Amino acid sequence: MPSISADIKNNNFASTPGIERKLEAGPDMTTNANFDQNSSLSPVEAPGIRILLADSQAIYRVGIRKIFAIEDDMRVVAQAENYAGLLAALERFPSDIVLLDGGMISGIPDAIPDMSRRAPNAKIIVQVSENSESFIVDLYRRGVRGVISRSISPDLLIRCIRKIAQGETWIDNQSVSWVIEAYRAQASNLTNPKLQPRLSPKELSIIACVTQGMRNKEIAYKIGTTEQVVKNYLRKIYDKLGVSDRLELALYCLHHQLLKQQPASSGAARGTVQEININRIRP
Amino acid sequence: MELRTSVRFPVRMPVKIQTDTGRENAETVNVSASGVLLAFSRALDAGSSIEIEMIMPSNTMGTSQDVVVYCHGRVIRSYRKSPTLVEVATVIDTYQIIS
Repeated sequence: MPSISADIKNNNFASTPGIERKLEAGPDMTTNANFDQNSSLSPVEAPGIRILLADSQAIYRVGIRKIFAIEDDMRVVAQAENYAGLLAALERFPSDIVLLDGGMISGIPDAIPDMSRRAPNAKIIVQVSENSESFIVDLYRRGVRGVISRSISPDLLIRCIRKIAQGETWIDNQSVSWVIEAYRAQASNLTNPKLQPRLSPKELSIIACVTQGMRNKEIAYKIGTTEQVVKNYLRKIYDKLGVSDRLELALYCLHHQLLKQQPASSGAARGTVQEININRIRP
Repeated sequence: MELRTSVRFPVRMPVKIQTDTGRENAETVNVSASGVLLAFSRALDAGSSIEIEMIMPSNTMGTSQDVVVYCHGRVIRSYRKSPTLVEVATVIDTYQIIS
């Protein structure tokens, strides 16, 4: 049986508010002990699925940890009891799976993208208490690999984690329908000229600059702001219009005659060239 | 799962294309940020390089001058729609927006 102190030492445990490292011995601790004995392997290189458990309720963390404890190919590498702790843990403890309590990110719209930026290789599973169509569709849209009920059975949870760790997406029949419907609605909104989001004069000016081939730095100079602010505006514009790059934005403008209807955009600089390597492989 | 995939805009506009055999006129059937479906007079070899010059007219765009987009890409497939019309599917690798 490995000692607790050895486990802490070998995993570079550092006390961080909101992060709880597993401290009691168990089957998964034995796995850690093996690393100590086979020094050629570091914990980061350990086989199996590394799980970061993020749940505001201790009772859930304890229960779920016990489920994983009897699986040879899974181990909880860190736990977080709040969102700040989760973000810190993501950077500190490389994980394959983040099992996240949906309530923890309630009211934080950019939580999933933020997590993905900090740990791009971690696959996120969100546990939800109730089936909210908009919330679940938004979770998938933002990149989570699975949404499961908090009342999921242990066997199903294990299957879900294995599938997602292998690169699959876990989605139930109801959510498939919602996601497909959302995709159809998005495509319809993009090509239906009657459905257009409201854009501010500043956003329209930036769109006009984009259609003139201006770079972000040039747009920033023209409207008297910084390049980062322009990037923020562009992200907002892309989200509002449902487009993903400058060419799609130009096509949107052409199809909807966006700038023609809203002439706040005139006077953009001319004669500049924007070249973007899209790096798309196949349509 | 990424929901924000390229949407095909059903935009028909005349374009100029540059192929191995020279510069010719064609028309778009639909355009997305990742590819263009062209209406053309003959089939093009799959895998061949193609340049497409799209001119988005200023009176439609609401801009002070036409918006020109140069696309460089590849032919994916061609299929004959009628004796005189072939649809050529292309993928865009790079593009330039020019005013």
